[in-house]
Amino acid sequence: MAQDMEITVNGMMETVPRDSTLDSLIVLFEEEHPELIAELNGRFVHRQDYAATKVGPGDRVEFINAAFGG
Amino acid sequence: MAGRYAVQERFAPLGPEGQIRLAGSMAVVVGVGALGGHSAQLLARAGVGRLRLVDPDRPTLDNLHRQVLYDELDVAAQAPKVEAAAARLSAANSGIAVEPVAEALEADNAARLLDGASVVLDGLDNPAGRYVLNRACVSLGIPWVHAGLAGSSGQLLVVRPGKGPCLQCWAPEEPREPLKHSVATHGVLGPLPAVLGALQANEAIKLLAGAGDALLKGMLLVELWPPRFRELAWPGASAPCPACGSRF
Ligand SMILES: [Zn+2]
Repeated sequence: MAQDMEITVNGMMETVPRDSTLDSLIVLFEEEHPELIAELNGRFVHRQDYAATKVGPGDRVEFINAAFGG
Repeated sequence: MAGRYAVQERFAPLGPEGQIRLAGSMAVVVGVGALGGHSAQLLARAGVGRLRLVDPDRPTLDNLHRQVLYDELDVAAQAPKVEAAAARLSAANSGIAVEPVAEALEADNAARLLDGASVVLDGLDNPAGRYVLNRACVSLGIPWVHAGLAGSSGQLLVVRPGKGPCLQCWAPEEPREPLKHSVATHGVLGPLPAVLGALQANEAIKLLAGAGDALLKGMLLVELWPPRFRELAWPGASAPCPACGSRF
């Protein structure tokens, strides 16, 4: 049974599994969409690196929508 | 009487030399809706010597809350947006040349539509067109200023081919519609394109004036409701870019 940890997602405190990756959080928070920009502790993370990017206690994750209207 | 650009030239980083550079430049505005209307107006008033406006659309009533170059008469007349826009911009500044082109930018006409451009401004309204524009600018070596928006948020990016990451370095996979966060689902807060279009014009002026040091370096994320502006730094490439082939 994985333990939980607290992190911040889009400015809100959230309790998530301790073994979370950016990829698993995207599934958990239903952020799988093509215009997603993901950020860990203020740093942009490449899409191909989501699965390998581990998230730890106290980390700050941001999910942002790139937009394509004009 | 002071000269037309006296106050702009008094801004020291531009000065009379910057003004001469603007006058000798050509900007192509691709998409002259809300973003493109704002950026084109600012570049015309700033004295960019030549402006080419590229857009196949005609104005509609539901454009008017955010597209400041058009009015109710234009909606009634149903002339192409670029015709109305060219008339407005020429009236604002008769000392520049404005060329209206009522066509959509495509991969096979991009070289012709962007020919001679010193800088390109993105005023498009979909991801596919922006990826076409990115590839064209990268292959032609023309700097371009991306912005995109929906709801109350958007992003801004300056692409300098060969000098830094392009749109596809940041986002290798082209987002396919339908998007979760779009104008269709979230509308547009009227002041948002004014903010982003002004920021695009501002970056274009720096590119044209040769003020590279003052350019936006990363990706600027803009949220207006509530307001929050911040810049994401480029973290370095993790793979070669499918568009520019680079690994910045
Ligand atoms: Zn690239």
